[in-house]
Amino acid sequence: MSITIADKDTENDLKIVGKNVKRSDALKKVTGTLDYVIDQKMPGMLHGKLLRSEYARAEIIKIDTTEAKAIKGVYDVLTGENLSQPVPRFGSIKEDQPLLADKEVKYHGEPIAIVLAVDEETAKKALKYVKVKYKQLPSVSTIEEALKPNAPIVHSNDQDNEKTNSNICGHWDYNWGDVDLQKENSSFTINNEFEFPMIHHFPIEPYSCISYPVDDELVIKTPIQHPFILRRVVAQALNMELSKVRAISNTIGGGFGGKGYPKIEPLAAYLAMETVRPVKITLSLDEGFFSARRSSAQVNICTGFNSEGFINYQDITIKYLIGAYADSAPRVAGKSSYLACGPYRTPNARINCEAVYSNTVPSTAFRGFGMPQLIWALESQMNEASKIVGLDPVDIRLKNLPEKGDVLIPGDNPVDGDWKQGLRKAAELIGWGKDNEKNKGKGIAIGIKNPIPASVSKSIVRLHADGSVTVSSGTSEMGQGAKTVMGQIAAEELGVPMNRVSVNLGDTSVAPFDTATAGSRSTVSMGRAIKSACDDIKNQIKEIIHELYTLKTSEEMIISDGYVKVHEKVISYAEILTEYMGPNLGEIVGRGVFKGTKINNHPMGGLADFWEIVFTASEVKVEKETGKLNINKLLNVSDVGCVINPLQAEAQEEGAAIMGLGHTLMEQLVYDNNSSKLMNGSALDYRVPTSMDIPDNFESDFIENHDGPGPFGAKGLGESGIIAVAPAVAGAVSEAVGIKMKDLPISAEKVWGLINNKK
Amino acid sequence: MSEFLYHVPNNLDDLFSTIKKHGSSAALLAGGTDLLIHLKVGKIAPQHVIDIKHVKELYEKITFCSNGMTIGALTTLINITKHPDVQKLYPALSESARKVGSKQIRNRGTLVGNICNASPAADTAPALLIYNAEVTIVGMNSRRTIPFESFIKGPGKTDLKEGEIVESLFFPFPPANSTSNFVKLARREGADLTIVGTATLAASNYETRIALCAVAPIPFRACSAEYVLNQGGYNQQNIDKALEKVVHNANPISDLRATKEYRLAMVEVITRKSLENSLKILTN
Repeated sequence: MSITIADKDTENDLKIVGKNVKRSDALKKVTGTLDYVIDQKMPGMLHGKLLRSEYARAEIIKIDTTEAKAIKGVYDVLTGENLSQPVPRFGSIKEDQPLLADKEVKYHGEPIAIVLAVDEETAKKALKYVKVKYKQLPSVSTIEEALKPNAPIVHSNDQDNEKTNSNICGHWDYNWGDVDLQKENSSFTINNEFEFPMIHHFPIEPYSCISYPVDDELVIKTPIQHPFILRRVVAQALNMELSKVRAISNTIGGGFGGKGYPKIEPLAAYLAMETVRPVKITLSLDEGFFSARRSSAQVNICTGFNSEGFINYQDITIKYLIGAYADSAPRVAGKSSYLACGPYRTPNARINCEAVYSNTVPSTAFRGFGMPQLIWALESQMNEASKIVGLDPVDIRLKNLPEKGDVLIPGDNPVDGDWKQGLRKAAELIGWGKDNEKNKGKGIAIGIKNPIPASVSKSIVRLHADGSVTVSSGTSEMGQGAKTVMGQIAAEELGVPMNRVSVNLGDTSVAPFDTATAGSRSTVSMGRAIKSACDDIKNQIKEIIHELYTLKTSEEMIISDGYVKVHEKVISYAEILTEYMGPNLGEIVGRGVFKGTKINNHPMGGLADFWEIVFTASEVKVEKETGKLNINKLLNVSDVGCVINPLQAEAQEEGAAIMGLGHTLMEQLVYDNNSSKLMNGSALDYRVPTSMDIPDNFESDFIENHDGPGPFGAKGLGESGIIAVAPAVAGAVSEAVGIKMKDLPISAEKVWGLINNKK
Repeated sequence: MSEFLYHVPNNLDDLFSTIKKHGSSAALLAGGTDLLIHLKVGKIAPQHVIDIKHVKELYEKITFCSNGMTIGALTTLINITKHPDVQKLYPALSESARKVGSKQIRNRGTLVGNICNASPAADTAPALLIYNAEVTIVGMNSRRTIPFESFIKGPGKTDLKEGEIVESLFFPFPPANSTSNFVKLARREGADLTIVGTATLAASNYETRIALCAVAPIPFRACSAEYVLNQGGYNQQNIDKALEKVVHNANPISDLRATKEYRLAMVEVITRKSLENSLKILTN
């Protein structure tokens, strides 16, 4: 028997992939009817509101909850002392974060008590009656202070710390070649220190979760990107079996990494088990500032070039300021620094990275996972190099970009795309080389990132008796459009129209395991798992056909577009299932898996499935009198291999670029150096770009060479667009008015100060 | 948000007796764009909220008479920005109203509410100052009209006494052959608090009016600068001299949005820009 499974890998054959399929949640989003957790209620549900620390570091002397408890409608008021002892701690990397502050608070805004009441208003009211007596302790909120010899230590009792009695949470070294030797051989070197500020994710949907017990099981419904990590973290913190914890990722109104790892969920879960009632904890928009942020960074970069402008070596020292608890920050530091030399051929490298604790909001994953911080430094360095060596900024980059198949980092997967093609396209689209008007300049930069190495995605696809399809996947829908894209992949593979495919996402009791919805990996990893589940279905159909029709070896069977052609007959899936199992009975369950390449002792744990690369260009006009920047043009070209849904791909890139404009132009969490208190933790004081701030000319384009590891040759995207915005804009500003930026954001006042030589 | 009783008086008599009854434990609600935020964050906790939107003597219309324009206590910012005659006759008012908050805020928020809030950074205040706007204040048995210039007393403080409300604002027609505009500097294009805001008026007879917000405890007229231009006309030397005086009149603070140093420098830049805009139109 010879079997043909139609080959879908050429663009022309595709019927659903590559098309602008409308988002499955579009109508609900625009009509405001999408079911977010914050709007959900359950019978008998208790509402929790958190009391947060007024100080950055203090000993809790006494918490008096008597008055608050006496208020009508208050069910209970709990502090760290009232929880099981020792206070349960949680964390995806280190289990270091107590459900409620344990005797000592470590950052301004840390939860120290929770009021449970019949409604949110009562809980809020009761908060005012909880009396806390603190003894203030010295604190640190900058890298410089945290690393001083006699600095206050954030985790003084932590045996896990890299060095005891220090604020260094962890350090990472990556070396290849011989940097010291090349220091003598380079014709010129550039040495700079760059800084990147703390940034808040600022999701428009505030944090809100509901947890409730069902018999001896526990359910947590929450906007979480990684339901399987949540399940593990809660099971560990509360000493439960994985099978007894069900994490449901409700639709997410903005994640960006800030809703990746557990925040309020372990506490809600604990309280649901204790009270045997549904418990909902909702934070205000402003409380988001006390929940998650991007690590700020200080990057010292020394680059050696030869006389022609080729990079000889990179010597990079990175210090990430992380918060008071680890969250996922150590992984951000360790993983991003691995790629600190960026997309360039770097024969010799010495990278040294430290993650430094401070008494500030815990930092965590944030779109780009550390790469925007490092690319800011690296690409600013390249801009300066181009001036010194007398090469055009595009040319010096072309010179140093590797070819497809070249080694990027020794021991990892080689370059998987035509990167020069991407750079040339971005240059062409921005009109590179044309003369600039007065006070106008153009800038270009390259961003790069790797997904989660050695990750696992599993999927179950069910072909029902009527020929309709259900896809179950552990991926979450956080606005990136996974629900639509995963449906498209299954529909294309099985030859079924989109409206006959249902997609269930992010429920650990329904979907099989998935590592995470992060790292721009889902289309590739989960996409592959779904494709392999569809292949499994097709193979089972093949066996059924074989059984039903007792095919002779010479006969041919074709599975294509939802039909099977056999004995010159065209049979639908529904007909096959009916004939095999009886009318309206049964289903075919396809199982699919993707597993990244795991390598023991590899610093990343495995190989990069693909390199997520972006070429960003901007044209900026500087208003010299005020220092204000007008971004006339901003564009991203990403090498994505194959676009599954053009509309969504563009939206992802544009959303990322706008976020990039945020940290480039206006965003920054400000801490008071003395008190370590957060000064601008509110929507009024912390400004993000609005629709009014989007450049007039704002574009996204893609390189599609069908050379990625994902279905149809796809690579990932979603983070790329944010990575290189800052250096592309700074490069343009430098061209326009000749100033050199070394820190962000590039505020009008800063530009004005540099133009007028004021600091 | 603390609990309160919600009152909806439908005429001024009812309104004033409700205000009198509840005195300082009451807050007035018109557009509510500031009040609701203050209630929600617990900045204020009134026991009574008195909605003035249904008081029949108060109005949202914009009316013109032989010597000027009247804007009612209930006139929304959006209606001011949309009104073609306001755009033509009082461009600084129209432009500054467009700079207040977001469109959603302007749909609800009122001009009178904006000035009663008495923020040092109130975007509409410089326009009211350069047009010599008058504020009509009514109480249970009183009615008085004062210049807007003496209405704002300090950050968050106005000349209103307990039991009084602003009934309307009157804008005399600007001088013949004059033009005016408003320029705002902020951190972003979308809704934002102002770093420096300037309204200027220039006339062919050199009558000049300059007012600023966000660079002193209250919005103010730069009278000494105006005098320089009134007397000497619009040559470069005079403009420079006038701008020096404007900077001298400003007394900004350093905050998260900008330093004092930058604000002072921008007082000059933004005022120059506004004056130049006016002069460009005037000379055409």
